[in-house]
Amino acid sequence: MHEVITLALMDYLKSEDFRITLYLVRKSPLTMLGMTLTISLILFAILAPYIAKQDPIEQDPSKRLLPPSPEHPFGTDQLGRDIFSRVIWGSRISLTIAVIVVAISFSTGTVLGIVAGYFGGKVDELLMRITDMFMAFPRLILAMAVAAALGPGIFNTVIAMAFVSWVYYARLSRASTLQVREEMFVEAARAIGASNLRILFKHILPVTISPVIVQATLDMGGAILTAAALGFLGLGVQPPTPEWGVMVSEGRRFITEQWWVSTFPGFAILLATLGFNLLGDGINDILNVRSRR
Amino acid sequence: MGDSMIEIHNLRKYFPVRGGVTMRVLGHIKAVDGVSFSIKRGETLGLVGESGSGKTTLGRTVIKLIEPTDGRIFFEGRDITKLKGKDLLPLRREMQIVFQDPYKALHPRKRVKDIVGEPLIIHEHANEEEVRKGVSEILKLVGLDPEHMNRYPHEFSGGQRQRIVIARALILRPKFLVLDEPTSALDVSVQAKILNLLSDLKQKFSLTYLLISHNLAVVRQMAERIGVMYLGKLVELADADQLFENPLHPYTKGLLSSIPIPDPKAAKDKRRIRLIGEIPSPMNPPSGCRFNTRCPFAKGICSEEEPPFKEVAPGHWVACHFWEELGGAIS
Amino acid sequence: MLLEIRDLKVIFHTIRGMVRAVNGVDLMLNQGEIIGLVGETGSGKTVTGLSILRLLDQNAEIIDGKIIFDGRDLLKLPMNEMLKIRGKEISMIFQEPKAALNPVIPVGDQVAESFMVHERITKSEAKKRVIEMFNRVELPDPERIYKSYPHELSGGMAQRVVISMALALRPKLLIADEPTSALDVTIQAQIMDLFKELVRQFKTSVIYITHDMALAAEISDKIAVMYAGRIVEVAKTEEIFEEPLHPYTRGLLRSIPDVKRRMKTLFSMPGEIPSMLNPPPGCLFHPRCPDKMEICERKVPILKKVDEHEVACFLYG
Repeated sequence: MHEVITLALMDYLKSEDFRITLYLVRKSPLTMLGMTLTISLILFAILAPYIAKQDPIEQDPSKRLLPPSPEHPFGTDQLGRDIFSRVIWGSRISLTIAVIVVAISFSTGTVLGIVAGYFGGKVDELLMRITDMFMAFPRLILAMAVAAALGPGIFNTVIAMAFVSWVYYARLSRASTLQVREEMFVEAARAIGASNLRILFKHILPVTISPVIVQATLDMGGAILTAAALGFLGLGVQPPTPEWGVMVSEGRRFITEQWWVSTFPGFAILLATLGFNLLGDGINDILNVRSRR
Repeated sequence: MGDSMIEIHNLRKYFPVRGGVTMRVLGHIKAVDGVSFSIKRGETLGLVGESGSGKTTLGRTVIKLIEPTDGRIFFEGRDITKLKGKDLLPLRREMQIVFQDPYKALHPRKRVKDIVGEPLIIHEHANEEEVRKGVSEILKLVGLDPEHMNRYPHEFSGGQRQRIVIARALILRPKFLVLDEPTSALDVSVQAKILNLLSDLKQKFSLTYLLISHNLAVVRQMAERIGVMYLGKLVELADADQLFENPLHPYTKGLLSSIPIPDPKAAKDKRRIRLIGEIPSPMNPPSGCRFNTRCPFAKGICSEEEPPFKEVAPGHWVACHFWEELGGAIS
Repeated sequence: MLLEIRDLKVIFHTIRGMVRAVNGVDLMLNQGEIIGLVGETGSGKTVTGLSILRLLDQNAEIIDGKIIFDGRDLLKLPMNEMLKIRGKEISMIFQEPKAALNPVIPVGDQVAESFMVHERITKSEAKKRVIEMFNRVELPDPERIYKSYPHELSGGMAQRVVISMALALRPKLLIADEPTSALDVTIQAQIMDLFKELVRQFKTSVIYITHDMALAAEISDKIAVMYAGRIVEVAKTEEIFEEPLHPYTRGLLRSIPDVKRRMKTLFSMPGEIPSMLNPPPGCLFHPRCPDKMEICERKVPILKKVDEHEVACFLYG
């Protein structure tokens, strides 16, 4: 099932559609900013060992709460750890969580959505009721509840967030499917004898992927924010793992005098989320403009 | 049955219309309401009509792309009315359809090879090599360069796209083809080429066609027999020449006289049989003869009793109470 | 001379490059004349029509030419002057009537708006004029139609409403872009008859844009044939059918299936309409022309007077 999704994604990335989208992205300054921020984030995460030479976990009480300096560009925290390297390494954590969460909720939600949308009837009703239930709660609150129930840790954080997010993809892909299933090329597929399964995954899925990709991009920003929120509240990733939300939380006590402890991780959250949001919004605008043509 | 490839008896297709908060059934669109005809092997039967005539629905119902509400369908003598699901699959090899809009009938994200080759994969579990071979062969037959099979539909012109649609329909060498307005979305100069192609292919593959079109000139060129539909019913059926030279039903006469003629001198002299009013909704067809609300010749009985569809001359059928009194060609 | 288009050139900026939609069009229309502008896809006929009222898309650009209406060059007018002309002096109707109507406003009010925008009259005055117009376009029960919404009307009725909106202020020029193509044949016939009658009564000049030569023949005094962004032939309607001079016109006429008799093979012109991204050099029709000469591959022919026609073809000098 997940191979089909990957195949569909690969197809999209190779298509003319995608190239045109890229071209239009280059033309919009805000979207370019979003893209720059996003790519920077990814680079930081990948190149963390080379950029942040100092150990993010190693404590050195003699160096606690030092202000920003050439040696420690973001200063040190209450346990003497270098904040700069913690922020850089933290990008790995945040990005990993975001990617895994979005990947799981995206694939599960999309598949369920297109199945419900295509077959309609009771299957559809069931899905709609379930998603209604989930959507009745604010996402963060629900994620908090599930995370609290499961207990702390990265793994549980991911489960909690994915559990809450899949419904939005399901609704999106369902709406898209309702439209696409009336298209002439779908009718043509039925005419040549394609089975429902085949139509769903080889005809409908590739077409519904585009709007869902936009949502996924926006969601990455949201996921980073949610992970940080959970971390901040102590429900998600636990110290000493350098997660941005946890770092902000730990720095609360020192915010008046040693402002750098919370501020730099805070900025990281801001820029990462902003990057994905700008990128997602930009792509959304582009896709909408093009569909108007 | 003998010579007939397709026979339909009293075919009906009703679409429920739902509405209101409870989505209950408010009524039915009687798209096809009791149509019978047969299509001989090797023949092209033309089906003409305007919006609401039911011709498009009929075309799709005959090949079981849409499930009939009532009536029977016979294909080569076999009753296929109730076939469903897997049992329908072998039928798809023998009956196919060419769609109207080549800009919509091809999957925008698939390569031509995959679009045209898909029937081979579904029915013959063909591998990559076999698909390439089959697609190459059929593309050549429809006048396209097999080298282009790795391209996407949007890289082709309208006429070429329609050839791709035709290629997909023919790759399994079916016996019967429904042509649903095959050239309506194309320019005039391209239309001629596609019609010629369809005629050639018919010869080459010994095909039988059901040609659906609102364009009478196109149907004239391609069909041996022509049926005229109005609001779900067949109102006239005759040999092509007969229909054009001696139309019996007032609707047929009105239709023929409405066609713009590419000849200014004739256009100036032409007297139109003007059909008044709008085409009624197929949800609420007029009582009696469905055409009576627009018929310039309608009299008392027309709104009370539905005229029977009968053969009034060899091979010439009509459903009109006054066909005899009104007889004769129009100018 | 009511309208004179001189050397109009319009390009489109697309992702794939620059498309020459209209490539040097000259057209003249006298008061009271009806000219059919005939062409297939990509001929530039719609773009020409839209250019007159400057209704083109954002990515289109008029790079050259003059459109002289009643002595003024429309392409040089400031927008506020243009707005005064639209609807009042020059009107346009399109193929999809329901696309031209606002779906949430009763149609009567929409037509009334035309009156109120251009003339200083009250709403009830305007309503009276609208009902009068609705009667003129033979709409049954005009009072009821006034209050109806576009989706409640059939295609034919909606087009009648649009026609009444276009002719309400008795414009001097009406541009009709495929006004009946989306309608059923029998309804099309009704609307064509109505249209002919109205423009005769109001003495409106018309540019009738269509891909259907036969429709053009029904209504036009003159016909201009367009191909790939240029006009290739202009002549009186009877002349064009009787003796088409341009090879494209000839080919086009021969390609129309004849409703009177069945032919073994339909005539079709070889080749396809050229890509307007990469047009061929010289005469744009030469790759498909049965009478192609050497010069056709190099130079672009201009519209010249030959007998009673205007033709752009080197066959005629």
